Amino acid sequence: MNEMANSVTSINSQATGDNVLVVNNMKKYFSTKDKDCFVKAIDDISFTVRRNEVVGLVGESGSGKSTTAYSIMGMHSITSGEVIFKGQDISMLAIKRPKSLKREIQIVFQDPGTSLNPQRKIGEIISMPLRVHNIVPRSQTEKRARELLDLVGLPQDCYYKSPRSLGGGEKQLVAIARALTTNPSLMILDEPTSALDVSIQAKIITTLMELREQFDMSYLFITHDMSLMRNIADRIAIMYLGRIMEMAPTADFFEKPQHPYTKMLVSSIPVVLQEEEDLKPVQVESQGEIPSPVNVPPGCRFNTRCPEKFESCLVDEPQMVKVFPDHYVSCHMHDPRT
Amino acid sequence: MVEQKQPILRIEDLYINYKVYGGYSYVIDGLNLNVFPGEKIALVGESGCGKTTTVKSILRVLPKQAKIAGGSIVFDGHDVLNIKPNELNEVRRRKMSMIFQDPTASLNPVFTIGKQISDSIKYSGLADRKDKKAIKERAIQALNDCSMPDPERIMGNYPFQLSGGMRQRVCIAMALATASKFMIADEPTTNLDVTIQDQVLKLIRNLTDEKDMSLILITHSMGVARMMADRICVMYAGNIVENAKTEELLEKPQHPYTVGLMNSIPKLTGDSILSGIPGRLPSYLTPPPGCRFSTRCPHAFDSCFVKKPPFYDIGNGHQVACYLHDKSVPQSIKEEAVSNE
Repeated sequence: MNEMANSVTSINSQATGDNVLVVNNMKKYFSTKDKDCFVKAIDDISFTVRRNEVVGLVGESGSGKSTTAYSIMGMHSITSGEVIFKGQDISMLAIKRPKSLKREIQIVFQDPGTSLNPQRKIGEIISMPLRVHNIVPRSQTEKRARELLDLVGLPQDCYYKSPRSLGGGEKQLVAIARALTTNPSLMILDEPTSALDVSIQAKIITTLMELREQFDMSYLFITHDMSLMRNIADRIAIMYLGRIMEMAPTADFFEKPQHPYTKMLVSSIPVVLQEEEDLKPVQVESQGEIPSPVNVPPGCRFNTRCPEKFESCLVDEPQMVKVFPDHYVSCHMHDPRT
Repeated sequence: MVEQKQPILRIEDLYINYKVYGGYSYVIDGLNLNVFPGEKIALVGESGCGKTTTVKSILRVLPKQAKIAGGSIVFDGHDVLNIKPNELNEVRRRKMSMIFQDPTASLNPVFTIGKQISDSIKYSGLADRKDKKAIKERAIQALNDCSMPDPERIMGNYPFQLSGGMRQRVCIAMALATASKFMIADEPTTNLDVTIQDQVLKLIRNLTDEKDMSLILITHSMGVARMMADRICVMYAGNIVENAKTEELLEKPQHPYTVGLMNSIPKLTGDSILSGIPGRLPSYLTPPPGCRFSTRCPHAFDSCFVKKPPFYDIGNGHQVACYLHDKSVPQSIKEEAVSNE
């Protein structure tokens, strides 16, 4: 029992100076018309993002990935739990955070078509945060904005263009340049490439990875594309119905997936080569659909779709357990109590 | 063995232009495609390359501003482009069916699922129009085939009461209820999660195999194409650039565009650097005169900018529209092109 308690707490126990972001037992419930019903978008999650690390947050739609991102950004107030950024508690709304903190965390949204103001020129879009945060003297604003265009690999003539004259990939690069203006140390990427074609996605991803090296940033990368995560993430966390089901270093995650949901997810990825097919775990027939977050099933929330469920899965909520170094699973089959 | 049969669909030299402000968009540019009975084909390409336009022309459901400027489409003995409207309707309702990308938009929100499936059965002429019981049985059977839980209840539901995956299953049930022998699926799983995508794709594959139907699957994901198709046609800017058996195309892509595309796909094997393809699709208003990929191609040389390359057959049914496979092009140029990579 003692051993288990250790392993549960140790998820965030390495809260050393190396951790950029620590999320402890975060919950976010949205109220509904019915006073006793809540949409449990996030239900008790804990994870960390270390310095210069890419953490992939993967899950199906409705699993609470984006809510997690918005809560960290301070766009939602969290119901309970805490978010700690570089030792500072930031569990409040963005509006209450000091400006110096806002500068440190930036976000890139999924659809660049709607996250850029169509009435502004690209130059104005990038200059705005430079002026708001006083990053450079006023006289230097345009020079710095042009440098940022260079950094993300956009041509200089973009400065006077409007977003509608750019392609989807270029718009996303503008959004990245805008996020870079304040020299953030944590960047949240909310499905930055899922609206783009693969040949363009490759360019965005390479640019992002170069920038991370250059500016020593950490990324929290939200996506549903597991193959992409295999290539760029250091650690992957899998979410299902507002909970993290498994969290592991990338190689571990694909070589020895522990949770039945992970196995199901990895085995349903469509792949292009036979070598990839061989890497997938034994085919787990995917069945059922994600239930509504209003009526979360009792016990383990995956029990409606799990091929390996037994009695305790229907009753008890499993705890996060450490199975390998840095590898955590929330499943009764790995719970020492069962 | 399949090759000896007559194709069920033959598209020859198809040209489609769109009237736009300031002239014409030359979208489909001399496309050729044969589909044999029972064959599953995947049309793969990026957004805006003309996949949907191509299949819409087969069903003759193109928007008003689109004009078919040349070519012929022969489907099961019918010349689809020069057919009387009522005859066209007959062909459409008995022999073809289509699944669209967005099931929410393709189901009518104010009718029940049962009503919508029954209607498609009623007008396909497969059951007596007055025999309501037979129609209902057929509809329930169709839902059952698509492994819908509790079809009787679903029949009385409205589309908004179902989840995305369920709605897509209803669309598939509707397409299959009419027992046609040819089906077009336009990105049927793009809006779905991977686990649901897996279920829906397997369903389409099993049901079409059972009925020995031909399938044209439109997708932008090579992985989906690999799961579903016997043959993959890669489209770029209004034309098919490479056409080969699935395995061969994925293992040994020949066209520089296909190679670029394969290198952009993140692989599960991991730690590969994604290269991507520089540039973007050319404007359809003023497309490049030669090969339409020449503006982005790392291997392009003189002839690529002048004349559109024909299809070169490189054996085993593998066709490539690229001058690098022309025997009259000197070896030195090919080698130089490859070393530029």
